[in-house]
Amino acid sequence: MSPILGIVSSRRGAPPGAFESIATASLSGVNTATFSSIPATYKHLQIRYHGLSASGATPNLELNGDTGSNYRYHGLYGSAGAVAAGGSLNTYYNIDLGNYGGSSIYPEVIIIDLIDYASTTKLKTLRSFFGNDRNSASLNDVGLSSCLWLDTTAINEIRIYTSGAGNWSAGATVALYGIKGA
Amino acid sequence: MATTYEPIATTTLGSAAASITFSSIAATYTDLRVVLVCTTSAATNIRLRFNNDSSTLYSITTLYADGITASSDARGTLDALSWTVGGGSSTTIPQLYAADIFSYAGSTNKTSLLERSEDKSGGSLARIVGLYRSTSAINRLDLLAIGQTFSIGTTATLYGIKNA
Repeated sequence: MSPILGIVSSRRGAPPGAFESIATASLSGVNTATFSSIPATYKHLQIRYHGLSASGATPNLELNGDTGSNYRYHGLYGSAGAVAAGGSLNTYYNIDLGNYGGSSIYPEVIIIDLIDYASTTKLKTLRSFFGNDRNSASLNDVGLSSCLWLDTTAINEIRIYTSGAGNWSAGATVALYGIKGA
Repeated sequence: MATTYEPIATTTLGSAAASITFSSIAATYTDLRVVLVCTTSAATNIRLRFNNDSSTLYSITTLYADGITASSDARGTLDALSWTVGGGSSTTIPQLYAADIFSYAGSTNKTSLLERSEDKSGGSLARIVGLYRSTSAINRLDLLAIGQTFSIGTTATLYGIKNA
């Protein structure tokens, strides 16, 4: 590691940190992945998604196996000259994480924060920052979303899956991290 | 569980510089995150380049808001990822730039999520997805102040994020 022109630089070892890897799943050849038995020992969770899919499948999220109409979702999208907003005010059965799916060549990436996931008194709020640039103005997208799960149960299971029947391609991964409180 | 979000290097400029480079980045992480807080010698574009590769393999799609309007844009055939959407840097007001570089050591094309926040003249923010059409592992980042210099006190920190 060689910072150049930095004048003052430092190489430090890792201090005791607050951001820990819980689990990682390869998504190659499958259309669903589940993180289960998530411990309640963190304050927040973060999901980092690196998606590749020949079918352009859009990733979706489901919490604690709840397939009911207990989710809300709003998004703000930028797509090659157009800005749009959308979402679901009423019933929605899962959380849509992106406007377009990725391709098998150009990854779609998403960072999702699950706030206060272990609370047993609060409804659960999520936010995401997602993007996919395919070097093609008509297919690119970047955006932000906020999501709500209308349940006060602690989140102990997260399932991510593709819309439709498409599987993810080689190189697709999803990783779950825990963020500690003070 | 092991700590997985580690500072790799921090640079604070003691003299003006046209670029800040992190090189010989180990392939031991899954993702990288770089955070830049800068002022510059004159308003200019800030860009992020990988592997010192200035060929036109970069493209971006942007979402920008200035408090009044929101807009989006797509740009291709760039020689680096443009971080300064909707306006230039400032000589006096520090601006925050951050980028998450996914699967930087992998063999796929490289997608990054970039952020820019500033309150120079009314304020604005941008969220950007950037593509580097290369399957080579990234081992070098260059933070560029195009045609200008980063001012003394500019800071840049590179973090590595590991998977389980």
